[in-house]
Amino acid sequence: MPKLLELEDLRVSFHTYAGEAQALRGVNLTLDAGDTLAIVGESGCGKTVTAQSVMRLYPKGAADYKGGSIRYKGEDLLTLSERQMRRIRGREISMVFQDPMTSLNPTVPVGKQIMEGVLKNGSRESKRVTRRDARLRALELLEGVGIADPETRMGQYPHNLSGGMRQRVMIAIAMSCSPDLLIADEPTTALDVTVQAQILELMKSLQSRGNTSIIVITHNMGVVANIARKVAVMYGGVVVERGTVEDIFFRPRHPYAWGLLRSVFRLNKPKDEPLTPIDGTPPELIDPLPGCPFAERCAYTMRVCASGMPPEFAWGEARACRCWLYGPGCPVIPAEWEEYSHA
Amino acid sequence: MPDAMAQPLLDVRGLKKYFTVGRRGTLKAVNGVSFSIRSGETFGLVGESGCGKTTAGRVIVRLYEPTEGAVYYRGKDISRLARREAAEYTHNVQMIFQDPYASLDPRMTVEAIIAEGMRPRGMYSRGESRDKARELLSRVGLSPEHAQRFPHEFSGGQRQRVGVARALAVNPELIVCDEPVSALDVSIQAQIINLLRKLQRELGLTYLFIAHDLSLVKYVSDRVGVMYMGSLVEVASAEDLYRSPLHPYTRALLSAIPVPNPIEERGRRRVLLEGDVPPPLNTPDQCLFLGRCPHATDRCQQGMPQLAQAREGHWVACAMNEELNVDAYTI
Repeated sequence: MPKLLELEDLRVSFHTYAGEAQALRGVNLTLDAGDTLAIVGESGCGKTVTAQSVMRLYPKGAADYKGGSIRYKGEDLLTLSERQMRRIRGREISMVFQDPMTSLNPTVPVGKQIMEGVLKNGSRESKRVTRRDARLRALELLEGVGIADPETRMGQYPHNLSGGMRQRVMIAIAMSCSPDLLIADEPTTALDVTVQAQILELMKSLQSRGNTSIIVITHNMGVVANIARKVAVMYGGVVVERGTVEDIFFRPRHPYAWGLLRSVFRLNKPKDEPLTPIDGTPPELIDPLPGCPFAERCAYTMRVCASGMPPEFAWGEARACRCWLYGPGCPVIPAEWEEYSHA
Repeated sequence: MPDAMAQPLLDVRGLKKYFTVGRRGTLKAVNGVSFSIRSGETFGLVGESGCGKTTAGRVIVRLYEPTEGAVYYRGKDISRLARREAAEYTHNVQMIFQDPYASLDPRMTVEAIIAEGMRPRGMYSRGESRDKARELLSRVGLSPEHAQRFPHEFSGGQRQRVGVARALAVNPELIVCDEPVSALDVSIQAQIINLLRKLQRELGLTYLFIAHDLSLVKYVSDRVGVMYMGSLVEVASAEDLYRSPLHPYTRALLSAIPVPNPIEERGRRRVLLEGDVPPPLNTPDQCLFLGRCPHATDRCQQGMPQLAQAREGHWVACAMNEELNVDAYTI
């Protein structure tokens, strides 16, 4: 199957008063058509920068694309002009943002906000769309994302809607031009659990209806288990491990993935058992130390870890881990992941 | 809830807190809540945003005056304390806030933040309070050398440790923890939770733990109260509540949590709730869960059901409780 999206060694920096912040330090990712990929990691690890770079949302001068490529259907998005990018956004790739409160325009009725994209991009089949068509399409979309009484809702403003409904409207806007790739950046983080469950169901049903591929960015391992088929774990601006959802949950290989899985609260966790946090704090992005970004917090640090960024050690094309433990000459690979394999 | 055992440390009886919202009416943030906390235990309060859990916590630390009902601390009504007793109460009951970025004064050093509460009490001299602040810093896992730093020099997790040290500074008995880890990353959350549990063991603290994350609340709490639109709908021991939830809302809430295990997650039967929580403005006198409840009948329209004991130590406010087949349900 052809790859829909391929990031190779993507490096993005921001210039701040304090110096150059290296947000992405060589991200490798692949996404097949029709697949669902979850990007997980802590705040500041580069999840959102990865997504926004794919959409090329940073204005010229704000972000410095230092290297690597973002190939979408074989074409490197980094080489496109702004004009060509506008053809991609919305129609090919669209995005749902984290905060439905601030990403909708508060002064425009939601119906009009949905119609805007349809009018601008046209539908897939025909270039010309009348206002009437766009209105019908907006109604259909609102109904599709499970909003009752769409006729009335069309004319209402974002402040008339609840958080869950606003996120549904955001999804309707993102789906309005039937994109091939939907990027959802923390789509449920601002929502309550009961509403979160509704939105996750909605995203899964949208995917099974069309052939949309989805990238979900989240820090919630429960959401990952619910929706993802592939997982990329990010830390300190690189993907430290990627594989299928079963690989990551039951056969994790990177020490950070071990720590992440162990520090998650589980309903069946016995009370007398203390939690196992990862000691220390995430690494600095400005002037990062050479070597593996996790070395400072890792229980298995070796001398080589401080000397250079570990390369990706791969097992097949969809499974890889950036850790020196899998390098040649590493004495023993700790069998920590075995404690997950019984689950 | 009356308790036959020894006098509870904190007893909340029929607590109501209403806010007037413009001309639109009254927002019943907390609408008749009763529970008690025993000395040394952790009582968890869970619910979705807007359910009134934070408001309840704020009434308990006297940031708000109750509209009706009362909070008794060691048998005394906290809104009728003499000035001296009131000062005593603020030392006994402290709070840890949700947002470690907004709850520390950016212009004060960490030492000044921690020592501020000790001063008016006249317990310590300036030098003693400085020593005590340093001791507290090491107690919460920071280095005493950090004392002269400002909040912006710390990460989120470290700031929350400062918040914990500030609460401990006046030797409290009860700490209201209002979403103490929800602003932090997963790997850091576990650090703070371990710290809170360690301090509870060492100092014999009592916690009111307010959070929306049910797996977290289950892990830290001895007993849990579930709130929905200003009312407590279920109170039980943590184990009991999660093993056999009785209220339809609790069941829906539990089944909505995604489990961090892809195989289990695929095989799960979900109780999906329709719609959102309606705003608690000018609410009618009926079960407030009525609109979203899969088991609703006519009986649910006859007044808000009161908490009733369904079995030993397990209380539920549901008119249909007898009829719902409890045992058929597992999460």
